[in-house]
Amino acid sequence: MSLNKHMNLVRLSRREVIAGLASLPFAGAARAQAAKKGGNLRVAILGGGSSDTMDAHGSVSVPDTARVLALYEGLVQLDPDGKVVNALAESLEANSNATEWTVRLKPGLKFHNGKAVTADDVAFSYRRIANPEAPFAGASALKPLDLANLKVIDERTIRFPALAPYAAFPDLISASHLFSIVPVGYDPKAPVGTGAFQFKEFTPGEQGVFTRFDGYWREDEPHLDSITIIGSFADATAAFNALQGGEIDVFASAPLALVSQVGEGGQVKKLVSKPSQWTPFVMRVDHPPFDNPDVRMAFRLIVDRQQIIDLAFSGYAAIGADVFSPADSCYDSTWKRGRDVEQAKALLKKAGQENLVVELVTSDIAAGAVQSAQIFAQQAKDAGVTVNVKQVTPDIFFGEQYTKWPFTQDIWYYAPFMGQIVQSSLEGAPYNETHWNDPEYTRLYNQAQATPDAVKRCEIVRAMQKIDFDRGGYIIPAFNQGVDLMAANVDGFQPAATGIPLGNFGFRMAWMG
Amino acid sequence: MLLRLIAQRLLLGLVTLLLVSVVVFAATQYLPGDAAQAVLGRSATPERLEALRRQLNLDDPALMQYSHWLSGLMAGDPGLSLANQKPILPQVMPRIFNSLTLLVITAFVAVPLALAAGLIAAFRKDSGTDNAMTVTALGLAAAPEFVVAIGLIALLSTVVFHWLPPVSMVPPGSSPLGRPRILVLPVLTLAILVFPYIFRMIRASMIEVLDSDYVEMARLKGLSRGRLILVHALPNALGPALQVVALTFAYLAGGVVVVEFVFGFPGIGQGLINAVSTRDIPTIQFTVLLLAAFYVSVNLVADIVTVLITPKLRTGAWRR
Repeated sequence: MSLNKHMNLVRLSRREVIAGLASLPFAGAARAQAAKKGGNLRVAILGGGSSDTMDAHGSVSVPDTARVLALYEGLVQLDPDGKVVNALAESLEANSNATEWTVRLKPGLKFHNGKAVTADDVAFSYRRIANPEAPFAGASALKPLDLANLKVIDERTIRFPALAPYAAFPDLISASHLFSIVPVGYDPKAPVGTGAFQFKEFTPGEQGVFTRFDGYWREDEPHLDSITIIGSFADATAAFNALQGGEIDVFASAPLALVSQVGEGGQVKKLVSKPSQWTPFVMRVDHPPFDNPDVRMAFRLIVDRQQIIDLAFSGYAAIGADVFSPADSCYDSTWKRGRDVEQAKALLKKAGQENLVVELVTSDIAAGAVQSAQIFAQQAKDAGVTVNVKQVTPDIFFGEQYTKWPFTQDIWYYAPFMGQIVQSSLEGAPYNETHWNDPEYTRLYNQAQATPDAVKRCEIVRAMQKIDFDRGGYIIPAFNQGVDLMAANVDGFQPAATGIPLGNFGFRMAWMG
Repeated sequence: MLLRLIAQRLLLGLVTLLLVSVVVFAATQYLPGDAAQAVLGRSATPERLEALRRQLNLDDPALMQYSHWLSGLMAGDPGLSLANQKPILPQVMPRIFNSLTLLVITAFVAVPLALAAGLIAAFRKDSGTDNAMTVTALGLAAAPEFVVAIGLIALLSTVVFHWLPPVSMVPPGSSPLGRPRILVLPVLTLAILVFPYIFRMIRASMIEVLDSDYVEMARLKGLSRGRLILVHALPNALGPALQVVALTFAYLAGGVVVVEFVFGFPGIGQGLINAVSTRDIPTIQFTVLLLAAFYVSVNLVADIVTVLITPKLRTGAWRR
């Protein structure tokens, strides 16, 4: 049911289908014919402000991510289906017990300043990310690496020794906007990367202009002469008006209320992403009443997932079953969880928690988040649970109390399973908001990291997913689809499963007819 | 005497500015979180927070941060933004310029219109024309500014006609005057916003003046209508109206956030909101200080002009 719905929603215009097909491997010739060269693409993205950055490793907001993905690339990246594929790396090979990785760069790679990309640059970049004096967001995923002992083998080859087995290294660095490769001596004020576009000008809170990089390594890309990333809009309606008035070409990640005003075949068209972002309810498993697994299960059974999808996400979502990373190749798609109020009541009675009263902290952190909280509060009444929804501003939400609220929500982009749990579901993980510290889970994680064989590793990952499904601290009602709006003549962006707008900000593939 | 007044007011203005800076700084101390927290947002892990706080000197005592900022300002350097580590001056000045452009053009459109309308209404007091104008002005005054803005966009840009750009983007490094078309809707919105107040004030003070004994006297002496209005009545009616105009424009200088929001116009109001949301205290301080200085000087100018044009005040009667 939900799959059908999803297929309907992502029904593409013929041009988009052609552009999508063209981007498959082996179809390079078709693409070369279809894509028109030139033009400046003006892209509005909400969420900008005076702390906007172009730093290769310091992105925080969505517009930051857009700039980073235009300017830089990592060793690997996520493809539109959410699979980890090589970008600057030609190969990544682990030794037999996954305690050492050998990374070989593609030949002929160049930075925007003309310098060749070498192993020294890779070493510099990874040490910059993990610098203990000023660590960046990617640092936590690199903790198992012994970066002091990186070994440059030759111009294009570098060896990463690890302090502990690290079989999932490519998964952990797949959020490529946090692991960009920059040249030795990189200065964020005059940023240099290997991306399809190079820096021209940038004013925080207003806009940045990035021009095509003629030495880009991918054949026949980029198509556009330049992109202008506009972060000055404070209001979604203003950005929407600008798109309608032809002042901009693309409005990335538009609110669903505006999306519903866009019909078929007009001047403005939609790009609907694959299900990817998730806005879970977060239960702290070390905090009463959620320290009781029966209460957690009861709450999961209370949720009418389809109702949340229909009302909070206007149908732009696929149903979730409390297990994350659905695009991971190890994900077991047979997980299903429906509503069962009677069983929820029985579990609450068993836990001695009838007539339970809890506070749910919500905030306007993502499309549909606050609405989901309100709908959940209504649904909980059926099981005799009183949920008091407390809405706070995003800066308070992500302030001192963040990851400490007993019952709350959050917003996540897609990450491969192993990459996700390093962020959210291990003791010491930076966003361990469920306060998850399950000995069996941790043992399985370590076992998975010590298993270089991908098939065997998947078996272990499924065992971990079963634990998430049976007793985890997340309620994941749905995986949401983002909608980007663009002028009818903009083409080449593909729907992606990463949760990052505009097909993971695939500016290199975009063109204007 | 006038010079003494000016000197006195300037001195008071400086004291006001200093007080404003103290109050604003104190207020920023009560905002939840700090710049490091705001800049890092969700990615604020304890290690990253600590590193950024060290880099931004946020661990220094508040008084030290304040005196550091003040001494920098005295030397003519408002410092670096905490949000992006770039100099504050080139970030704030273009926004000030944009807001001032909007303000000045609005003044040149709205004030003469309101003045003329006010005079006409006063002369035709209680006539159909007067009633129609007064009711219209009341209606405009009652309409919230965002309703006016959205209504104008729907009428002139998106739904009914497609004459004007619905947003007023000004790329950094360019002037809004380079593309005057983008200014039409914001100016129109602001003009509609300020028109009723000035109109009503002109009308009321003109009616009062026209009813006064000396105008009656002048009329009895057989002065021409034009001379009566321009030389005798208007100068005395302008005084109170000028104060309202000054207040209105001092208010507009703060950047009409709603207009900047709806039209995506890069003015000072949005800049200030950005600074507050990133807890960028030096930028907040500098912006507020500039606005306060503008406020003080507009009031000073209005007072001086009022003294100069009002016959009673000019002759020294105001000193009692």
